[in-house]
Amino acid sequence: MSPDAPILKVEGLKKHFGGLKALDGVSFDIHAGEILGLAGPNGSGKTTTINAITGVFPIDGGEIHFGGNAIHRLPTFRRVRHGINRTFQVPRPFPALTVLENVMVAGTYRSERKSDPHRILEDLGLAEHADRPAKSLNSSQQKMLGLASALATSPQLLLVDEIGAGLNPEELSGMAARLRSYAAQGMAILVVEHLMDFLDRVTDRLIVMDAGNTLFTGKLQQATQDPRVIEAFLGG
Amino acid sequence: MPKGWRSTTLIPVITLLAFAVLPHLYNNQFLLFNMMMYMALAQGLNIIYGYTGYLPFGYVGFFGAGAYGGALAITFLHWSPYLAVLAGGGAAVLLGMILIPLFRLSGAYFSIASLAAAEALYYVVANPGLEPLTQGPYGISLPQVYDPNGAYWTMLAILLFSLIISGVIRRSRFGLALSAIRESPLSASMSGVNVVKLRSISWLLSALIAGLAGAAFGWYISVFYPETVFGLGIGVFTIVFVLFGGIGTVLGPMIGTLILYGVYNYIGISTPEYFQLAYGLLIMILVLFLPNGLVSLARKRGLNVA
Repeated sequence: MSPDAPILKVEGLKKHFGGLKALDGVSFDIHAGEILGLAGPNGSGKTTTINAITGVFPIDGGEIHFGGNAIHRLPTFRRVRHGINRTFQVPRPFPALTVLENVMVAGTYRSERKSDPHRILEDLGLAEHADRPAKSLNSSQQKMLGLASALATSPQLLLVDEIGAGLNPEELSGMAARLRSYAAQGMAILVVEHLMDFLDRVTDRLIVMDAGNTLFTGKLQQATQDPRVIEAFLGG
Repeated sequence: MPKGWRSTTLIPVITLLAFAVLPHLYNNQFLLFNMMMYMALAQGLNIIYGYTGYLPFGYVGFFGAGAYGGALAITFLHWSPYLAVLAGGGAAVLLGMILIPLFRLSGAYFSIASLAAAEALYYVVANPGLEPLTQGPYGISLPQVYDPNGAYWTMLAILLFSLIISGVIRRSRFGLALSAIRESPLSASMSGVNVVKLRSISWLLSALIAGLAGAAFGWYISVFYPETVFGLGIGVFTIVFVLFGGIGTVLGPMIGTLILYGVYNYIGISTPEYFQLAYGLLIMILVLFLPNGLVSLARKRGLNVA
């Protein structure tokens, strides 16, 4: 793989749920160190795209290449071990396990990329809750725990699904700074978000989706002027 | 030795001492044998249910497969009973491998499908057409190896093996990954856990313990029928013992078996007409007030239960 090659290349991604075309030929790529935003109205296929990349369900067409290798037939845990991880829109921790155990689960398999769960919890402000069961955390703490669990697998590509929802302005600023610092260290990040201000602060490039298709690719400021984007968000 | 590991080691040591000394103090060896058998089965079930959350109603199928696997090894291959016990474990593991596709199901569907599989195996073994092999419904007899003492010590070894396996799982990274699978298979995958592989390993370990116990049981009683070793009562007792003590711990299933099997022998034999009433009440009280088993009482007091 050449240094200029994208770390993730998605080509013609298709996913149908019965008669509904959730993804209808989506294509894009992300480079190492880049933060790509993914916006669009509800039901446009943003979370489905993340689920397809992480292997939550099989795709019906298209290809996904990560680090030059086709990964679309690999099970989820293999993709994670290759260096892909994500957060969930609604956090999915291991409720009965402690916060520390939640993060330590990522260390239960042999990996060349080792992470320090204590340090991750420290960085995300969860160290003082390390011995509490995950179910006792509030929703924003559970979001941080989701991010901690993802970081524990040392991802090269992080897919962030509406992590800003429910965070207060101070927490949002902290999250934006955090994502920018991860990208500065070479991590590629895909951010699915409805909060335009947050997207404006963190993303280098934006994709707007509608009805399972890519509607727009470019800078966020250009997107807000694009009539197709305006129509998708506000209706015809 | 770390504190957690110390308590995990203490349980097998106390168990060994207790069941080595008790036959000299109490003359009902069969009761002690059955107590050990249910404790081993409870640990075996705990591995698949307590750690990964899959409850096989048909767990007794592995027990029966072990009993018949061991008996057939003695009858047709003329193996020593000790080797035959291992063969029984092997038969149960083989059955476990055949049943791995059941994990495509989850929750109650998995539980009921495993029950159907155990019942199907029962009807195969009890089929009069298989009389030359399994003796069909007429039962199998092993007078040539009758040795209750040998079987007793073998069952103690199986119980210790199950306790060690369960204790190691509880304290290991493997056990942590299994607990993650129990909590959320999808999130476990997202933490890089190979859910299918780990779940299969725990399933086969669970099957192995039941198979070993079944073979040792067959050896102890030396004459048994398909319904003796495939009877759903064995599986139901095991599930209730594990739930009563507390799943996901080594100590819980031990305490659950000790108390409930003790109650069963006290009430069930002296006043059998009240047995089901007493058991029913105990289980209702458990579900209402201690849904996480007796060990949750200790947890509420901040104790770390092994």
